Amino acid sequence: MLPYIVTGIALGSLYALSGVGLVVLYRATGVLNLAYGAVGALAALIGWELNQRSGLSQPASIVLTIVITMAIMLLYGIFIGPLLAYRDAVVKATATLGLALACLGIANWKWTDKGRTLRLPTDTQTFELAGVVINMTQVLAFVLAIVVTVGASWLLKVTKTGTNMRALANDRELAAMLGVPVRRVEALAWGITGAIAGISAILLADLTLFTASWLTFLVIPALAAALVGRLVSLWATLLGGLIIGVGEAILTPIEGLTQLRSAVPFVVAIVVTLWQARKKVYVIGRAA
Amino acid sequence: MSTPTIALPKRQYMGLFIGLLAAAIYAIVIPFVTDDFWLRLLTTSVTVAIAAAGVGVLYGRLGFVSLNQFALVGVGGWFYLRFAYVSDAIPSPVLLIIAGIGTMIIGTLIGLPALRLSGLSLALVTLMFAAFAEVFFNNFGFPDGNNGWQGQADNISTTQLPRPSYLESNTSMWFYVVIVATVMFLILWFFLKGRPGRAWAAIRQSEPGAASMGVNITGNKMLALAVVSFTTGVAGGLLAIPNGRLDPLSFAAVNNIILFAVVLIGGTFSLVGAILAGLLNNVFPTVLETIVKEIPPIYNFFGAAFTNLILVIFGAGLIQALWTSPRGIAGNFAMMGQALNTVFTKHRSFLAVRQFFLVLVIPPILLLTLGAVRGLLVTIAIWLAVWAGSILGKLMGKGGALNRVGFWIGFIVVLIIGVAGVLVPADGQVLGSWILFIIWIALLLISTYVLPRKMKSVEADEAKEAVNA
Repeated sequence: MLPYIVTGIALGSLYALSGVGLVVLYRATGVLNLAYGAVGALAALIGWELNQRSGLSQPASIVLTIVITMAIMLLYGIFIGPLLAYRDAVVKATATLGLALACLGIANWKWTDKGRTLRLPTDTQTFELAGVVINMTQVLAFVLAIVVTVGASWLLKVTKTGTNMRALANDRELAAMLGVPVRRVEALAWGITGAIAGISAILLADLTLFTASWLTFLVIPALAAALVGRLVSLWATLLGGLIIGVGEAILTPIEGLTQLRSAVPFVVAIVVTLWQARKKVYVIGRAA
Repeated sequence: MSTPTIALPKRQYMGLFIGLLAAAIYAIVIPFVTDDFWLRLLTTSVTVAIAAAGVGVLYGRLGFVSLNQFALVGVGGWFYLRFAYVSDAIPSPVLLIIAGIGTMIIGTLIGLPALRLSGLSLALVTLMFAAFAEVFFNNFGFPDGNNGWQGQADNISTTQLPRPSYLESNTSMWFYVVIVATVMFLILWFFLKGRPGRAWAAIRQSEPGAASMGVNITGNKMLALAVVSFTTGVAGGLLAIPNGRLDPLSFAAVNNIILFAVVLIGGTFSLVGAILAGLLNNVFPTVLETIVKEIPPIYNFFGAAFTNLILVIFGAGLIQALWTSPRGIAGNFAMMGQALNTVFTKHRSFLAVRQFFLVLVIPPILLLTLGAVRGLLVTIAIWLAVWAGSILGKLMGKGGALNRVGFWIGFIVVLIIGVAGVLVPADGQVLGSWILFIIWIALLLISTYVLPRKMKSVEADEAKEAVNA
């Protein structure tokens, strides 16, 4: 059981990392970016291709992956985001599905759905703890999740940029009137989320499967984690991600239940949604 | 406490009558002009169109983004197969109803938690169910006659449920699917035009306002989910009949997103849009593949997996539809009709007659005389010509003679170009398709950006559409 829990914590950290990226963007722009996994997957595939076929060194290809993810998200945020800025959250989220489809289409066209492996140097650096072998990639995932959560929390709560972001999400026109550089703050939010997406894509590709479809739909546990945080609290998102990761891991070795482990995000989301629905509220106006 | 009932105006019955007539005419004509391969493809398209109609009703009338509709198709197929193996004596229509009811229960249960929260919760929960369904079908497969609740021994058998004896031929399968699809569309239509439809429109426009009027919000939302899940489940059963089995690979989670995208591109507000969505989903990729294969340089450049690039088109189309308005291609037809109305205001009888001829008489005759491909292309050329004429007429003046002159000029010019492009060259199919495609894009751009745009917000537009359509 213990090895599975370690894997679960590592994966859960990545779900939480992606979830934090999602929540930061949502709190800044009101867009729940469902293309999170797809963009990261496409960038990771490009980086992998250049690394394997054109001899680009691995650190460079990792940096390139992150840069490409940021670039795609920035382009989307700059050109398509404003078109839908005054629509409600569902429409903005659904539009990102268009981006996801496009990225998936390109990824499957060039690389098809064949599995490939992404190996980081930290994979082979292992140590033992309580009889379980842990590799540095898993540690890296966990540490990054915590660091990013702390960093993003600090950014949103303490810094002026963070306040600008929250003002932007709350009321775009008012924020603009108050002198918040709307476009710049928005671009910053998209850039940050892109960077996090790129990092999560690489780590997820290393720890799980490296196909575009799989990585695209890893946005779902991330979404469930974000829902646990009610799309607001970063620490709750971190906790949610870890719970989902460990939950999936616990079910893996149990005969008969192992195939249902993919239902864990779904069940968590349903439970959280039901809990939030216990008070009946009519949503009038913007649902930020 | 009951909402006042209003007598249905005649215009809506006219639309129903033309729709039924069109279904009958095309159902009869199409098997004559297509071969087995394309007939089977069209049969699947019509089946998917039922699911597409459900997606359209949920998004167009209620603003629900339901991203698990194709997974529900799988659920319907699962129920159909499972109960088909229970007893040989259950007739196919009863199995379809069972599939519908089973899917209705599951579809409603999934959406239930999210009903009281914002629409975003529903979108997320349904997306998660879609992903879960993909894993479920891949692990547990579809029933193939064995015992146990899942009716599946292992996941690799290829047992096929034999078709009912009256559905042996592809043509009879086609008629069966068209009849069931028509019944499903009628069910949706009656709900839309009746009290539930008006309640849904009221909810779409303003939930608190509807609540203050005495509309049962949660009940009506549940009703929408239930009706749409039922029809989608029936579609799932229909999908299982031709091959007697379903492939879990068909139910990848991404297909749900593709279904939503094609519904928005085809048009969410009309049932014609649903049929277009079905065609986009199933026929368009094959058509594109056939056309591109005839042009070796393009085929070599893109490689064999280029049909994946269609997803890029769908993604862009989804964003465009969400940005402007999800009236889609079907909306273009409506715009064409409306523009014609402004051109020919004096000839009232013309308005009914043009629909009759343009939709019911001319296309079937062309299909029968010119064959499927050229007939279809010439039909499209005629529609584009009408559209071009209406645009030119509108550009040239507000009414009267100038309008009509513009119409005829535009109509005749585009008609000649289009028809010549299709009929004159030897490989008119390919060249003609390209010409028509270019004309269509040009008209789309002109009508969107050159004609004066109304200064309404998209939401108000959509809400009005939901009430009037």
